[in-house]
Amino acid sequence: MNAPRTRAEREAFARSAVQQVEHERVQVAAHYEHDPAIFSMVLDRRLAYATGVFQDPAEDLESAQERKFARIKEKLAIAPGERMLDVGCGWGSNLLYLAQHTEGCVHGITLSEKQREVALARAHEWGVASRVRVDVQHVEDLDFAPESLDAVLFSGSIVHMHNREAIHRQMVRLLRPGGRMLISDCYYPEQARGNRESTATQYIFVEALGYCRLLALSEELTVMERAGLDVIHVEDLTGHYVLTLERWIDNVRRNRQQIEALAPGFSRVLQSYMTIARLSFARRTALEYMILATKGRPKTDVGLWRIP
Amino acid sequence: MHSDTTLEAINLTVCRLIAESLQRPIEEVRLDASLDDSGLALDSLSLVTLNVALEERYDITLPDFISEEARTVRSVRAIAELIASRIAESTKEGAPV
Repeated sequence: MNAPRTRAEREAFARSAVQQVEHERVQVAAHYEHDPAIFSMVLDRRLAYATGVFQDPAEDLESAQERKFARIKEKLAIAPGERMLDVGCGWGSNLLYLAQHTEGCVHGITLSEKQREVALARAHEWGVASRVRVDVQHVEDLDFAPESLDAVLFSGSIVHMHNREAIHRQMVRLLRPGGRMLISDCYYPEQARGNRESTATQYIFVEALGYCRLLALSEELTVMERAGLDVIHVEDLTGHYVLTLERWIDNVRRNRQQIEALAPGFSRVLQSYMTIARLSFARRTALEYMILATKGRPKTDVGLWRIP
Repeated sequence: MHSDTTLEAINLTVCRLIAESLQRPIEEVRLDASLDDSGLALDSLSLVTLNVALEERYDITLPDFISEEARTVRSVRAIAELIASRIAESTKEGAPV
């Protein structure tokens, strides 16, 4: 792996692995522990806190997020009775979509008790609670039996996890042969572009979101391959994140007074970090990718996927 | 609608917010000062923070000062004039017919 690129990353390297897990448990959770009512004013109705996939730049957020859920479902290809883990499941956007649209058993983990409550309440409301489990747990504390999972999803979450080598090794251990792993997250270009030591970077990575570590795509893929995963598909969604963030920012603007009433100062945090992120993706100083890998032989032949 | 939406009052508010951001006395923030390194040297976070604070203060939407779309907004005065025109637009839209 390359040398640390940001102050946040350098500070993480100065901590022990145990200290870093504790750091993430507290600092990352803080953002997501804000009143869920705030996020429901900013995000789509399923509360996806990750990029959508837009058919055209004028499309609405709901349609773009629905397309993304459907795409993740297709890529994970969960068969009846299969067991899926959503690491950093948030308020259950993908988790519950997958529970509703497959016959698999879905298990989410999050660092936020409030997110867990929302996800479970929705699972009951939507009649899928018998196949949904949600725990407040750090990924590195999972104690599942080896080869007990068929699919693992990290949507907008692995960016908060420092110890990538350990996490990928752990996922390989937990996946059954033929198991799928999907990541949808943010990366740095391999060539240095933009100022990664700026106050804006520090603001978004630490003050707003607790802890973020952006690798280059090639570094993540290398770590995955070294752990024993086969990478079978990668797509760039950077432009789609620009559109997603534009809609979130407009929603913050539209609901500023209500957000401020629930959490004074938080509308400013949201709009500021989202504006920095939008500009970073627009200038491609940060990139958004969706990565699909398998443990062993893939069940799906991605060479036969239709474009578009 | 704020009562302090005269150009003079807006100028003062913009100067005050920039001074706070830079932790410098307001007298050092001149109206014709440029935002970039040749003048006040506001970094990207300060510009975004200023953007958001002004939108909140005046209940308007502004272009991002650090983006290419806001190339013309390069001085304290230009920001204040933009705010004044946005307030005028939103007042016109909201007025009874």
